[in-house]
Amino acid sequence: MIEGSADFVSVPISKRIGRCIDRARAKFLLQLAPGTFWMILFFIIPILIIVNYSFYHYSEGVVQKTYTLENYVRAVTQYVYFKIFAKSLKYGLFVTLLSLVAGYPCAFFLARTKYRRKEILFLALIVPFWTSIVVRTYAWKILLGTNGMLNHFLIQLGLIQTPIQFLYTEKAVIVGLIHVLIPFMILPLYASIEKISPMLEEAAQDLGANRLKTFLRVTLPLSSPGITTGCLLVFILTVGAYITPDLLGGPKEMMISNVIQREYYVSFNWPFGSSLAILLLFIILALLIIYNRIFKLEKIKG
Amino acid sequence: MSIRAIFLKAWIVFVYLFLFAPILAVIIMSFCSSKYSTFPLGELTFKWYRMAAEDQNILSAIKNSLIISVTATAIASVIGMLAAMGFVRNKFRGKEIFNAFFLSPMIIPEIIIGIALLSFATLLKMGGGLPLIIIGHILIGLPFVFTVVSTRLYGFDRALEEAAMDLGANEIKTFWRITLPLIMPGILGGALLAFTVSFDNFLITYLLAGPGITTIPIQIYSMVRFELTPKIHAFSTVIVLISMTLILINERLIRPRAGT
Repeated sequence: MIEGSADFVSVPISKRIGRCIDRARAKFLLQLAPGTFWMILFFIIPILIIVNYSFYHYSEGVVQKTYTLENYVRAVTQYVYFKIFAKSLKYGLFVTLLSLVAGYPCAFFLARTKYRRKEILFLALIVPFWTSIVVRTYAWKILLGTNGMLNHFLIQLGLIQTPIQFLYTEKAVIVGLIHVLIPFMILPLYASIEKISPMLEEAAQDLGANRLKTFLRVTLPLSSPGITTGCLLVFILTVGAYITPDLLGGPKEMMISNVIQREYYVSFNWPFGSSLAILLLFIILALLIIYNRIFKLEKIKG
Repeated sequence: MSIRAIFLKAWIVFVYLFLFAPILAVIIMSFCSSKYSTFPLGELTFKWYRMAAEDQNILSAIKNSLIISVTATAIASVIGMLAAMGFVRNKFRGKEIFNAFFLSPMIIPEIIIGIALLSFATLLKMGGGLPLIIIGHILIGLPFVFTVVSTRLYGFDRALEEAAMDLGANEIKTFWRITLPLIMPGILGGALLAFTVSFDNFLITYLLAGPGITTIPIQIYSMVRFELTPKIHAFSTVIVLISMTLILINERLIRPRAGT
């Protein structure tokens, strides 16, 4: 290295700056390299592999490396699979709307209350968020089972004579999903409601708007970033749900993830399973792109 | 108090009850002396905790979980911290896309990550098992470390580093003596979240484990699929308490007190 050993002072200043930039650049690349490497090797490449698989032909337990569109055609046209996708999207819609309706008052309360123990209420929201999803889901079996707590109380109260079948129904799955996902709704809602100045609401009321009108014309529109983020998160997480339909719904209530798992581990039809996964990925990406557009529009508007 | 306020409060109580009722049910049922998790309880007992602690399957699940989560968290923390430093302190083209790219494992359904990694490993004839699970857990832990450390770095006063360099510290010394201690809360917070995510992960682990390897969530899952017993409730109670403690530590001690 002749250049490196050159006398420091004799190197022209432009070259010294150049070397500095090179060093900064090298440092920058070194910092980003391990993460980027990991993401490409263990995330992007594996996804490309299943994209490739999804075009393979499969018959009688053998994967043939000839390219075909038949997996996608089957996924879209065969009624069973169409129904599963439709059902997952329907659950997504239900869970999102119910979480929004149930969560908005909570977020509003948390953002506006002057209650001294607010921090505890906030923690109480975050703690279940990070608690084992398997435990929180199976716990509903204790509550909703035929001999479970809910049936016991209902019978004790004389409201019903014989236990009601709650478990392994659509309702159980939706309740379980709302339970797991509602914090994903409340937290972004809270963040955006907290930013709204209460003075704006007071101003609207001074100008003669009643409470409902103030809410509909001031609070609700201003909290729309939180609404969009919360809805996007809950919808995406619902559509990809696995454990809740598995434990609370049983085989009747399978969603997309359960069907993909089944294709991979029970039928061993990896090409078809991959095509379902890629369709799911497309749904998610489409939603993210729409979300991004909405946010760019909002930024332009205000 | 107006009627409106009463309704609002009642609704809040209802939602919190909804959030905590299932967890409370597990805790209560873990003290039930009868073998079947039915209501009412009957006598209370601690025996299920003892039995859970003696169950070989549970013990080996705990061991696997710890090996996986500790390794994955350590690696994810280092990689995520470096990436956050490179990301926050440089302007480059496609920065926004890079950010989205790095956070994407958070939002892409686990089933896709799971079968993609499985297909990758099969193609390389790697087979399932611990190394593959750890790879997957690092992937899902990275976004958490990355965001938490990034947030910390945005609030970082670089004049402190310049001062250290002016006083004669070289870059490496500056990093160890100034930068690292200052961003440590971010790294610890991110690591804690990565650990929790790994420790609680079910689906990716389940897809990659192959026969014979269980972690805590998988062990609980395989036990509750067919029958609910107080032993599982006892085990679950302990796991829930551990997760809660970790999160309380993060919220109370590590996260900077901003806003709330």
